[in-house]
Amino acid sequence: MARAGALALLLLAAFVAHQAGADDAQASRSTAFALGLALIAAALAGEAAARVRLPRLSGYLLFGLAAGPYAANLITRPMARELTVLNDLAIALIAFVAGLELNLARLRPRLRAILALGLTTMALMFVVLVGTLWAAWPWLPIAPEASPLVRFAMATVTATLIVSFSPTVSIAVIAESRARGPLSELVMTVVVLSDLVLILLFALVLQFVRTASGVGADDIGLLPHLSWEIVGSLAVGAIVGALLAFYLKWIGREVTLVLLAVCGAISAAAHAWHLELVLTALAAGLVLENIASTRGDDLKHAIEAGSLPVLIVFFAAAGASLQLDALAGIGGLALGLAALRLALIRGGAAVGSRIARLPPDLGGTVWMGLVSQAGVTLGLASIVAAEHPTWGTQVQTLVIALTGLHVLAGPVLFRAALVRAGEVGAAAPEPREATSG
Amino acid sequence: MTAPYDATHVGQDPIDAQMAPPVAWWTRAFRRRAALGLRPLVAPLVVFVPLGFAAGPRGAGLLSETTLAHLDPIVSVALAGLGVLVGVTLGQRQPRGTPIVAAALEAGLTMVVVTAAFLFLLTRWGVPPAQSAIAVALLLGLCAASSAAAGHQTDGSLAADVADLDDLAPIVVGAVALAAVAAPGGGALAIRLVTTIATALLVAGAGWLLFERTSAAHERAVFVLGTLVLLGGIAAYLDGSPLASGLVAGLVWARLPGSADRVIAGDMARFQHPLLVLLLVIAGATIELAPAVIWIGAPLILVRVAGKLAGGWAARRAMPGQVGPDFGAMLIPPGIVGLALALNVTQLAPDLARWILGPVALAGIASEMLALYVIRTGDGP
Repeated sequence: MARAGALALLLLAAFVAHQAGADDAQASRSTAFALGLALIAAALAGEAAARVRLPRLSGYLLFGLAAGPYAANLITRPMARELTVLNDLAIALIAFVAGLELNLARLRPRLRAILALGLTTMALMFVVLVGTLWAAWPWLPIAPEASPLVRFAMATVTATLIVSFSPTVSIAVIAESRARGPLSELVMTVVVLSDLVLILLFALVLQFVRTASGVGADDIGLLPHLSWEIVGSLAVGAIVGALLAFYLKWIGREVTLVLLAVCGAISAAAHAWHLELVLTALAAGLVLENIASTRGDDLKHAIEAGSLPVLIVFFAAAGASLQLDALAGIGGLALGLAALRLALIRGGAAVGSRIARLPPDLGGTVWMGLVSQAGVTLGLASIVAAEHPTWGTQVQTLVIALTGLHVLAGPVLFRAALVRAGEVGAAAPEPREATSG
Repeated sequence: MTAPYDATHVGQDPIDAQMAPPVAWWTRAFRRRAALGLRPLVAPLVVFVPLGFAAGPRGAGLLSETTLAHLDPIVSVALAGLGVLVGVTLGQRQPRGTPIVAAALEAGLTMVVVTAAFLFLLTRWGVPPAQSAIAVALLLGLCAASSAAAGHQTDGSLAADVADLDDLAPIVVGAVALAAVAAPGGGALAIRLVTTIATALLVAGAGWLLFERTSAAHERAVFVLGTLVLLGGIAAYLDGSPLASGLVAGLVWARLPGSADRVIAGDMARFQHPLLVLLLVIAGATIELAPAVIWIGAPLILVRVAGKLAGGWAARRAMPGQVGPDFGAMLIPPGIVGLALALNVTQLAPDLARWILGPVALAGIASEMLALYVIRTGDGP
């Protein structure tokens, strides 16, 4: 009751401020307003979601959606844009945490099974989606008059985008559910390794599209660029991880603050040097975990203290930025493709689990952790739109609509799977403090 | 009834005492000065403002104009946090009667002396133009009025009460002055002020409902952080004063039943130092190296000292026998509130900033240095 009262007061404060605020206020002036509102109100919404056994991050997302520009407009469009200032920091932090979870000694015996599951699922999804899209392309609202080869190229790039998973969301669900166990580890490893494969696949497919459509076909810098993106990211991340291990061993003070600064530096470096942000941060966490695992555990606890506000803002911003108009415009097609993707994930994971000889209970639920899609998919779609504005923008709209559906449904499914596997809350509990008075 | 004067009544302002630099290991060496009966050498202002200037766009360029623009929301949050600290401290101490009158006299007199002197000087010099000269003189007076008070006894002393309370007037009057500068016109000014206060009250109410009823430490930290960010954010959105917003919320938390004030003070301890250091560094980086820094800053040092001595004298007369003859000199160190107010001017009235921020920073650093030689703390080994 007190929390409902607090939420009502906050929303009233936001409403009053909106009524009195200048319409022409600089966007930067609204950043802290949007951040504060998102932090508290989304945290309360997350708690409400947890009460009805949904993931907290679904609550954060739904708050963003409800308060965002397409609904209550308490978070206006410029404010939603300003909220994304923390996006890169959040992604770096989440990937770093994922790296800390990847203990190679622990994973080595299961690596073959993990690769078999991930590659089979992706391959099956990719092949079926390319075939279906190519066959259905003349009836889709995306350049239906294209020649068969160009149509095939467009189908491959669209399929690549639809296949992708979201390490960010999957890892965030694991973190906020405090889950630990075979399913959490399997899903996390599969989505992280799939992210690597996807980047590689996307680069190759994009080159094929260039050749087929004749746009930018003479751009031969792609492979060196790709090599740099992968190898450079891993190298920079490894160096950062080693430096952090050194810091933790010899200094070890203000760990949360230093970690947030390091994640900020990683995201700045990724922008400046054209690195893959997820890979860089993941490599940093992985190196730290595997060369200084005890210190890595200390760090993990510090991260848990510092990451909650970043995650809340990240997902509230994602909710506020969901483009409902895209979903409304292309909703039927998006729903059809989402249903097909879900079926393919389920089928692909079933086949993959059999090849990987996973236990039936694990093989039967792993698909539920692969449904989410988020930032990486949107980022790749924007590259397609920028390179091929004639049809790429329509593909981007479709992908935005699909991502909107998957980012809402994915966490709910994954948490349900974690509950079924009995892994929720298996990690160390959050510290509680008695309050006086 | 208040106790008669003794040495322990000369106390360090507890608000500023909470703002010591977080790097205690390197300040430890300077504490030896206190053991010799001298003030500690390093005040945060003296260290971090020049550091910020050196790192800023006019220095090494590590903090570019673009970076500073991105940090603007953090400034609003830090200002709100500072306001909360002032509000909570004042609300918890609940000073009544004599100290309030003494602080009002002391701060008011300093404000009047500095404002009058600069009104005269700026009008004589003819820069900035007439209307701006009034605003600049008033804002310089407000920034000069707060003080940190020097010494070692922080709790329960009358001097500390006065030094706490003299932060109140600049924040309150500053909120009105800044709103007037940012939104000329009586109606708009009143609406802006009322809305800023009303939203601060609403956010404070929400915080009060949340803080005590949350037992998970991480979750409560989110609520505390979110409340501070929202206080600063709404004030900035309304072109109001985050300092005043924070002050209102801090007072509400201290006066409402329960322990919301203790919760916020405890949780704020985790990030108040980085925020305040950032505030000082940003202030340093924002300073424009213009001739005005010298030709306003130099007289400001002298006029502020004169104002504080006069204010101290008036306060002593309001509290006969309860503070020492050197009370005015004890109020020379400026603390952080004046500089925070100057930074708020930079946000709301950038046209006036070059007449305010640099001179206030210069005068603040000089006053801290001057205090080293004027004041003996009486600290023993």
